[in-house]
Amino acid sequence: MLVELDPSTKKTLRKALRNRNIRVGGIIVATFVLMGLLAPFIAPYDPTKGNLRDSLLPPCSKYPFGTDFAGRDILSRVIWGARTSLIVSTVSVFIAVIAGVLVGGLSAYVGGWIDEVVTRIVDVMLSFPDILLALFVAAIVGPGLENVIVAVALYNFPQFVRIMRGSALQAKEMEFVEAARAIGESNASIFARYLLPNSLAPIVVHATLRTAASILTAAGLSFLGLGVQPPIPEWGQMMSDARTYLVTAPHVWIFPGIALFITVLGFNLLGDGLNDVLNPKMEV
Amino acid sequence: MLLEVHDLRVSYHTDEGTVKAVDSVTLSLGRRETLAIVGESGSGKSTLALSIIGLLPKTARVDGSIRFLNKELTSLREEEFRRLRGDRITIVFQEPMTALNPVFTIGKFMRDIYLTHRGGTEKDALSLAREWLGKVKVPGPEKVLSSYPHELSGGMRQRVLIASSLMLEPDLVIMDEPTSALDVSVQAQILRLIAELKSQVEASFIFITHNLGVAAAVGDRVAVMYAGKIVEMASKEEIFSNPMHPYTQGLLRAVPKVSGGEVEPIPGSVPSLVNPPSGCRFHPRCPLADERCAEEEPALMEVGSGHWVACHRVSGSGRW
Amino acid sequence: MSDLARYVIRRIILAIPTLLGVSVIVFLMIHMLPGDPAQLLAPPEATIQEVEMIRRRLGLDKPLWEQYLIFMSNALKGEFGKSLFTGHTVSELLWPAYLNTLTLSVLAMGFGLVIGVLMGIYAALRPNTVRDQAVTSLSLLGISMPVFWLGLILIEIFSVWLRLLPSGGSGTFKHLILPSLTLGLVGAAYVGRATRASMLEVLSQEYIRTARAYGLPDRLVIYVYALRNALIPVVTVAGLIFGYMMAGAVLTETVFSFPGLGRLIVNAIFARDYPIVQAGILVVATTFVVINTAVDILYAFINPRIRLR
Ligand SMILES: Nc1ncnc2c1ncn2[C@@H]1O[C@H](COP(=O)(O)OP(=O)(O)O)[C@@H](O)[C@H]1O
Ligand SMILES: [Mg+2]
Repeated sequence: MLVELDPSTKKTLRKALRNRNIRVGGIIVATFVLMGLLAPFIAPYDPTKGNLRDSLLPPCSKYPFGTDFAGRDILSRVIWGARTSLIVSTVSVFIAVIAGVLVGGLSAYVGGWIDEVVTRIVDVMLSFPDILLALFVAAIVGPGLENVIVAVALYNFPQFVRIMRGSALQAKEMEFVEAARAIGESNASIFARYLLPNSLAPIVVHATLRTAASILTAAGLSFLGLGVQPPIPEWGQMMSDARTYLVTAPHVWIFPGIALFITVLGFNLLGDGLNDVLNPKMEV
Repeated sequence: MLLEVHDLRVSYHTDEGTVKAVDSVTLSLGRRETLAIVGESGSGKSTLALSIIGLLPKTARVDGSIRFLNKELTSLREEEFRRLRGDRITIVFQEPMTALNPVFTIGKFMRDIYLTHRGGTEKDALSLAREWLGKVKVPGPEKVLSSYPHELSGGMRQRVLIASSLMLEPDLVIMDEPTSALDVSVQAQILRLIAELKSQVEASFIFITHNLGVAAAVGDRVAVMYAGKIVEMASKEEIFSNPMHPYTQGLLRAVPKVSGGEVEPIPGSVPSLVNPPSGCRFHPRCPLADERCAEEEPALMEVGSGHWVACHRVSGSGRW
Repeated sequence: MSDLARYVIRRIILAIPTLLGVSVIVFLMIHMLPGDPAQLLAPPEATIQEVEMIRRRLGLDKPLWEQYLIFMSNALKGEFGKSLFTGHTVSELLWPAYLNTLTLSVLAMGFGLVIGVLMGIYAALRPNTVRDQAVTSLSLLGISMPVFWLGLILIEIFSVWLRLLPSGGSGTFKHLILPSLTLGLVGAAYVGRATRASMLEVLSQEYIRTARAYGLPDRLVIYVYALRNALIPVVTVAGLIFGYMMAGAVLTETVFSFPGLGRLIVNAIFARDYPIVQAGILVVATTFVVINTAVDILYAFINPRIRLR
């Protein structure tokens, strides 16, 4: 099926494909996603079953990244770890975006005391810096995959409320929105037809950047032992007993760290590039 | 001569191509003389000014010669040029609202200029600044010294900048549309102030404006610029009594009259300087243009004593 | 009253509802947990009578708002009750750890600011050149770096290979170097990005051209006229980063077995020592709000325009 794109979309698309950050970031992110989706087919070993006789082997031809203390293949665990990170980050960011867009958009649109209260709550939530809010939630709900998703979603939520609220406030002032209201278009329709599209660019950019932050935060929680629990393979969790192997088996924490680092870098590159293309400011 | 510009060409490199913003400009300026440069927006006046004071962006390329105080400015070392700037050559820009650093007081700015070029004590610096703020008639010079730019009106800020430009008794002061961004009533005040100050100082002035009326009021001589070139240059009396270039005549008709009579703007607009029109650059807008104007570029020729014109229709070549 | 004084007072007043909100959330933690709060706040070996005693002592039988008032009046006095398992009061554990984390963060912040600002200026002075791209790429690497992984790498290099610095613990200045370097490098990446962007913006402003037009030397133009303006947004970023450092300390302290607040909170979460968790989180969030308020006030001092608003 051929889709006719309007010229401005085409132009943006062309610009995006020429942007180096988008290209490099896009390749990294695509690799990460594919690795997560295809983990069962590309991982050479079962990530959860190990052979204790092969415990803590350094990288070799049989195990390219070596093995951990339980004799599990680290390469396979790194590949499956992509799947865990993919699930945690996309689901939690998705939840946060949907909730943030609804709450932020409505808050801006309705205004009045509701907006005031929402703004205050967001301020309070943002007073827990970085991983602290996720830590707080983890302390309440306990460790585990689903709980990490909840913690990370909650940690992202106020950010999206703030962004959506900001751009919705801007859009609200625009003439065509006032005109739509004047001719009696319904609130829901105004929201969907004007406020949402107007906020799309910053939301997309921010969602990409927050995915990077979320992957880091989820890995951090797991590193602390408050996130995804073994035997589920997760990069942060794979590094959690690194101190034990500092001297004897650094490969245990080096490889998951590289995977984590590059993935986060990929999302950051993509986010930066999208920001350049979608929110063009004065270019120097 | 204080300043001699010879065959100056300035071009900017852009994605769209090379912009020939100043093309083969030759002019000179004597001591205590005021040259007014007039032309529509986009005709290269600011570029000319910036090339004289050495503030062109890195994307600009300069050819030709600018001699000032017997120094060749186009090949002057940056450090030496810097010492001229603010001391021997100064400039007042168009936009007083953004020309002053928002986080520092007026006093600090004027003091830094003084200390940079004169050394000496803070006290001397501030007392000279105070004296000059008085001369430009800001109310309460002492208070202005400790004010931040946002606390002053546009007219006040422009006065501050004029004081800064004159404070060190420079040889050359460039004013690039110093009143264009101001309210009409304030414009008149500032013009009066400039006229008054001119008689009190030793400096020469280059006064840039897009209003031929203002140019003739301020300048001893007037140079008319169009699309990067000087198309006519003469004493202010000549320009008014005997404008020869059709563009000058057009500008004259476009001067807003105090009586409020009809103003006739010149139809069309300044062309892009990436691909300027062939021949005479004014020919697409010129009511008198013929084929030759489209093909052959007219040279700037002296048609009377000190009266220079670049136009085939008035040239003294005898062909017409 | 001057504009500035009015602004400062208003900004401080504005922080109060936020702090109250933070305290409410932290207070409610114990009620959000599944189970009986009194039971959660009692040592595991406590008898039923002891649990009831705790319930009465902490007012857990009273209405919620009254409990909150008790919690707050204690918190304002710096009292957070007793640790459930260690036999210490929470304060005894909290404040030394807080001091350690604060030392670590301040050191890291100083480090991050110096490196970041220098990097940012260095890049902005030659935009789109190799050196600018190098700085930009380095910053992006920095903000993508898992801080705990960076810590491990630094340990591997400086402790395992070079044997120069201890890999963990505390007590001497040497113990502070690697953890603060770890946090500081990540901070430097953020500061560097912010400084570069804002310096580029400022350098294109007309007032910089004016300063040059008056022959002011480059050093003065860049490091005074431009930098002073460029640092205004960086100050805000620095405030945020300081908060991230206090939070990021949770991970760094774990890597370096550093006895700071982050370590204390995480261990308390494992031990279900909830009074410590509450106090720790409250203290970090409060510090964050206080710092951001202070930063906003500092902002007004360096940016005369803001005082008008
Ligand atoms: N920095 C620049 N880069 C590229 N083109 C420029 C730059 N500055 C001016 N120009 C172009 O040069 C021409 C002359 O501009 P300018 O000197 O500002 O004229 P004026 O001051 O008479 O309005 C215009 O076409 C303008 O677009
Ligand atoms: Mg101009």
